[in-house]
Amino acid sequence: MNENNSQSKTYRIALLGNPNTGKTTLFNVLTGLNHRVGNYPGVTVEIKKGSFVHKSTVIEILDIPGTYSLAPRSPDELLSVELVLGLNPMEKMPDALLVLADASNLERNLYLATQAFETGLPVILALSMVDLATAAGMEIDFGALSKKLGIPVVAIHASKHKGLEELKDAIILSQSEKRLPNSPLFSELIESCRGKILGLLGNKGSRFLAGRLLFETDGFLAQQLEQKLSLSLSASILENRQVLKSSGINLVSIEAKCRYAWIHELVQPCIRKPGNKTVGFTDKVDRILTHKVYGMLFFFLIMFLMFTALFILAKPLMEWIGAGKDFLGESFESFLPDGMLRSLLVEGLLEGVGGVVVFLPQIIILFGFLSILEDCGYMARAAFLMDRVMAKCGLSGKSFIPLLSSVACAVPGVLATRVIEDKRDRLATILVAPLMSCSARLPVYVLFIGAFLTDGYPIWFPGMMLFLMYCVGFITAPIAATLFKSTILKGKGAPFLMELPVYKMPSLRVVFARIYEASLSFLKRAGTLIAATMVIIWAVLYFPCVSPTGENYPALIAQTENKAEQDALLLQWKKNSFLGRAGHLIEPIVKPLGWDWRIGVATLASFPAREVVVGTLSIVFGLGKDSKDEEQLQEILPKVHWNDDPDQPLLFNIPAALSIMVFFALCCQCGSTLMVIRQETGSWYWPAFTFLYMTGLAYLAALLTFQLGMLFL
Amino acid sequence: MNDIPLNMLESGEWAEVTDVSGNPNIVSRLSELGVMNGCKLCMLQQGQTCLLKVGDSRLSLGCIFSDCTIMVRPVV
Repeated sequence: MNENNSQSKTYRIALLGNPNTGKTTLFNVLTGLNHRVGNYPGVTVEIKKGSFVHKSTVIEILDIPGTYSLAPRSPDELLSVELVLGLNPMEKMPDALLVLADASNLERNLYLATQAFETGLPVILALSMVDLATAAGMEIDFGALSKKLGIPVVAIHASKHKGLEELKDAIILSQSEKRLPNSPLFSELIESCRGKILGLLGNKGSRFLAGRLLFETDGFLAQQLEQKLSLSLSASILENRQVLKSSGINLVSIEAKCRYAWIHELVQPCIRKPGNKTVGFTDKVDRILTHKVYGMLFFFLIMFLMFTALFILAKPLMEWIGAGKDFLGESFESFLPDGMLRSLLVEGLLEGVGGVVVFLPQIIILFGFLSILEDCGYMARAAFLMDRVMAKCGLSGKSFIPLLSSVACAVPGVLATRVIEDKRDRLATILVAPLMSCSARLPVYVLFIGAFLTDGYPIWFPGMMLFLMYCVGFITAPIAATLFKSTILKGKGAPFLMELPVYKMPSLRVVFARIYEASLSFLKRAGTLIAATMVIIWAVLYFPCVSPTGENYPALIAQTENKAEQDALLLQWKKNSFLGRAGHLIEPIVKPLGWDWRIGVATLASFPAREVVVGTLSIVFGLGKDSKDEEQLQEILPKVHWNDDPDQPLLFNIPAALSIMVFFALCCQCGSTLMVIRQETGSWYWPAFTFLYMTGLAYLAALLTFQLGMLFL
Repeated sequence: MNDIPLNMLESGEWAEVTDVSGNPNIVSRLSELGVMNGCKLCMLQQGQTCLLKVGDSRLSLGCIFSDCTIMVRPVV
């Protein structure tokens, strides 16, 4: 914002549009990086606010969440309406409204616009997807449309920066012209009833608001407004509704009927469409992609491709990052003196944070895939296909996208539940989303499958094992959801109403922006939460560094030449450390899972962030100071004995490896997820519940895996 | 031809909506999306969760039939 510049004036506009019209892209292109997320109490929606300067006027845009109608039925939707009408105490009333409409579906998109027309504010209409409309054989006369509506109409292609200057000019012009749009007139009777309510609203009122109060039969808005504006409206609203009802008007659908009739009459001369029954590209493709059988087959093919690409494409990149990390480690070791600082930097920070950053390629590929699927319009089809499956667990297709995103990371997954209107459905989805195997579990699977289930098995076996580990989440999450929906979150499945957008080429700009955002937040997490965790783990494993006989372990190790003796000393040191003692304390609990204190310690340490486990395992399994990349750990693990005593049996067998993987698949070892659940549910109860049920479930499942495995394997 | 419930419309068939009734919240939501008396629609994929073409948009409806009834008259 440019508030210091006294010469420029701030012109405030609110950006409105249906979902899938490219509103976010337009907002981002107009404001660049100059935006921030507004926080409003009591709602979950994120409302972005940004600004740009055009012809020495500062234009501030408020990005209202995508909606089909300004009819509030929830606190989130109410906020949108309040912001548009200037009823929210935290924001001033906008000076004008910018409505973005999808040209390829103009009549439906103009519905929201006609509501904006009644607010008494100047409106600018921007049309997106004009290319798609043209491709579908439509011809739109923008000039005629603008004349009929009485407002500027600008065709734009935001990601290609087309039409933006015209749009900005139109915004500036609306400031001086103050042209008000034509808006639909309902029947005389309705307008007279509306007029009476408008009279009661005083200076806060508009035809739109009066109409809302008249048509909203559930009384939600009226109740909210009476509180906010301390007016008493109910009596008059009820009276006027009665008048309409008694003349045979159906209040539930009259608004839509009148608006659509008005729109249809107005738009018809401005638009030429191919015959109603011409089958367009999207419908042709949808015949296959939404088909019960072929559609499902295609869906599984896409999922298979995504997971395969994840491993094949990420591998070389991961190796480069790993090599970079090792190089850094070596250079640190070469110029830092042996001691605490070096140990902290190399073993604590570099190993811990580096071990996590190695997974950046996977994050990039996964988010790239998901955002391409989303932007081209396929994601909505997947949700449609999965609705039937989700309905069996008492959820709807809308829960599917958050669950699929959780395969990347539960944090965006939990955030993605915001599209679910039904509260219980949303909560059930939030509770089970962390069960989906996220990218942070991948290192654990890769490590244990590589160490125990690769050599001596057919070439396809490790891949299948990995898929099975993902299935643990895919199968458990729906079962858990069914349980929650039939017990604590009991309720009927919410109706599933979703629009499937037209297929289009995904925009590279949109895809890259999402990858960039995801990578940045991943790196931030690695640099903050994980770095802090690793330092703590390093410290509790380092201290006390004095043996019971009073000798200093690092000094002892430095004096010893023999590698075996060094390792023995190291193990004794770790055993004696705070974390080691804690591990011994919990050994009785983890022993039935086939684990010893060292695995227990690594697991305990990875509760803040599960990625930490690989690093911790390499520290506790006494890999010494040579190198601790995964490959090496993989070779060491099969040779470890209980208590490091060669006379005792090997620590790891297949049931134990499986029990570790199952535990990690189901356990809630992620501080960020718990924090985001706290943020989204607004209470500490739900994150605590998630943590307890998942940890309990993980323990039981790991116990079962190990005990059954010992019987049968 | 007689009116039939929407979910009995076969894939590929066109129909005109003759009545939408039930939970007012859902009925008004449907009307905002263009599903209301007198509108023409095409069943793209039939099923418990169905896919409809209404005007220029494709709508997927699931689990709504316990809350509201949509009656349609098939058109040839």
